[in-house]
Amino acid sequence: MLGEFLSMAAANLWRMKLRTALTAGGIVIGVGALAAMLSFSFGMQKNVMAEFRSLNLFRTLHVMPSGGDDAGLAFGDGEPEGGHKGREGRRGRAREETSRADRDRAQADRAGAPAERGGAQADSLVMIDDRALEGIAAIDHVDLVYPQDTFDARVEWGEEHAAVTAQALPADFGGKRGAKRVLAGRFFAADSSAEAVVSTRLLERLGTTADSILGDTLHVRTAGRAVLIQQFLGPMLDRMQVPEEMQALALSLVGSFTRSFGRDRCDVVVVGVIEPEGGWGFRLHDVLLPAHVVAGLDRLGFSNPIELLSRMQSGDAPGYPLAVVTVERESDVPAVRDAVEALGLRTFSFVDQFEEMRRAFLIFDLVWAVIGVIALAVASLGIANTMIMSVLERVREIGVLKSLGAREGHVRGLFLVESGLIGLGGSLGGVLLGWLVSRLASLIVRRIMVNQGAPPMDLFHLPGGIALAAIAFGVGVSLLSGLLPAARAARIDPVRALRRD
Amino acid sequence: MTRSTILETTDLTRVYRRGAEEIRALDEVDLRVPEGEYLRVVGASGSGKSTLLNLLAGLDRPTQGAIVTPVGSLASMSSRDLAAYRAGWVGMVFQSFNLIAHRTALQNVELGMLFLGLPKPERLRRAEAMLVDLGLAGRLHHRPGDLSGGEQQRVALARALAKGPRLLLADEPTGNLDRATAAALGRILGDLNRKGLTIVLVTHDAQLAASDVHRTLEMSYGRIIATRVEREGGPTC
Repeated sequence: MLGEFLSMAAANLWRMKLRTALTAGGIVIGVGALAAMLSFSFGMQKNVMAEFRSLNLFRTLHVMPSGGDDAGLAFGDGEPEGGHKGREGRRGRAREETSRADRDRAQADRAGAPAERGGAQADSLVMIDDRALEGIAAIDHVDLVYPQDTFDARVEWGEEHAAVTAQALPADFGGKRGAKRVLAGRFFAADSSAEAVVSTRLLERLGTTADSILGDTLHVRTAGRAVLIQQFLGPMLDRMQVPEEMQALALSLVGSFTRSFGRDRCDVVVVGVIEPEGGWGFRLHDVLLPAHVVAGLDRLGFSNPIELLSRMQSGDAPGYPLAVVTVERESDVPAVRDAVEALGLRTFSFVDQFEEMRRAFLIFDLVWAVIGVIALAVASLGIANTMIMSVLERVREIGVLKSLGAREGHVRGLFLVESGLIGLGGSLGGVLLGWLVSRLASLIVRRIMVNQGAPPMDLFHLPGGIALAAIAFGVGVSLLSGLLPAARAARIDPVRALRRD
Repeated sequence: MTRSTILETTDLTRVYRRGAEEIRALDEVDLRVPEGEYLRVVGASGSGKSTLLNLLAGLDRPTQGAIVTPVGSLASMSSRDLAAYRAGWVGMVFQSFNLIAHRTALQNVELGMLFLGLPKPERLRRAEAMLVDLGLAGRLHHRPGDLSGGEQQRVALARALAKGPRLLLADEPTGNLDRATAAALGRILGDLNRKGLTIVLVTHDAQLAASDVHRTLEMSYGRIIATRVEREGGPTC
């Protein structure tokens, strides 16, 4: 009987083509808007996910020193108790320890004795040294671990020069699966070899190519403490109007003192070219140098705020402010994170951050969905109106059907099928419209991005499941709209209906 | 000839209420129709003829009384069973034909069998055969608007007959037809009765089917005021 009703309903709707098209148009617009907005949101999510994945962020952990009055920094505020108990729990415990420390200090002040620092970890600072790195590398499912050891420097190649951020890495980094592929040449052979790997971005800045620079010597000058002091001291003496002879003497004395900080330059041979990746805090930088070559250089010890905060917290304890760990699979992150925290270190994972982002995207999706639902609600009034008019126009026909043996359920079903068909046609048209709009918008945005020199990106993505859900929702709304008119049709008295002219 | 009873009413009453006003359209009608009878019901407008027919067709429910058929008592049947009764047991023909304007003759007749549960090819086959029997072979795919009054009424008759009903109820079937066409329709109804179909014909045309009907009931103010045997040898219960 459903098949019969479908063909009867389709014939009825086709008879009133204009009315059907206008009524379905409301659904087309409602579902189209819903599909377009959701495809934009899903497109953004897809791009973010793809960017995260391309940078291996879902398989990356940042490891930081821990211990002391740890109230928690911006990333990862774990205590070295082992296990990833949850941020809120750890923040709460850290706040308790800080409060206890304040109470101890206040009590000691009143008693006239030096305060002891509260918290069990005050003097047991866990740094990221070479032994810690070995411990992390030994954890199951860890693919690669290296310290994030960066510093500002100036490189000179021939007559060209550039200010860069240089990075120290172990020699075996190049052989690890997680390392980026070297585009030309090779990685440096040993931790003490005077070699370097540069990025394609640096080649662009120096105005050269891989073939030209491979095998050449690169002069690296660090912007270390000595340079910083001298750069600060000179202008200060000028402002104080110190005589030139006195300035020269002062700079000479400071220079003697700062020589103990270490060398401020090294010469290395360029042996490889690599593609830089990612953004702040986790990229391979423009110049990669062997760890032991960098060890003897005078450096500030930080090149970004995270590293500065880490340094400030750890004081002068030796070790790296940050280490980067990549795991074999995304699913290995929780286990590796727990194992690293069991070593007494703190971790930060982009998986957790992405969960926050995912929640934000969900809220956006809900907002778009609500807007789409409002549009569909307006369209549903049109369907209800059309169906009521249809019932009033077909009263006699309903009487005839009942005289021929139609039950109330048959009549109700026939009109529901008609409203459902309007919704189905409108929803299919709406998804198509939403797809067309998103394609057109994508083309325009890509053209603009290419013209601006940015890599082209597809901003829209409509998963098949969402398209089907939008269609189902449109049909559902239409059926709901048809309920009242269909019930009204079913209740028509056939005797009165057959008497109508 | 003694036949089974195809319809029997007892104290059949239908009252319409309009606020405080009561209209007794049918008032305690007792009636027995044997199978195979050609029964004519006559009376002035408002005498209750159409009300009686609507109750016998199961389109309406009595206020009081019983209508007994071989498939059960219509007054106490569920809506579902009444619909099945209308679908298979009884065929109806109306004064205004009541064809669906946007369907062809063939589709109108085929619609009459939709609720019997027959497959569409079978419905179309029976519909075409019935239309050909009634002389409408060349009008199968014409819509009612393209047909004459007589042709439309024959399409309506084909729709009522194609499902093979046991009872045909005709409510003023010639009311919108000219005399010649009405007479032709009357002959068709007579032929159908001779083949065994029980017919209850409501009409105010005293000449219609005069030589074919077995019995005439005269109604007035909702009551049967007279019964005449028109033709000897009709079926009895």
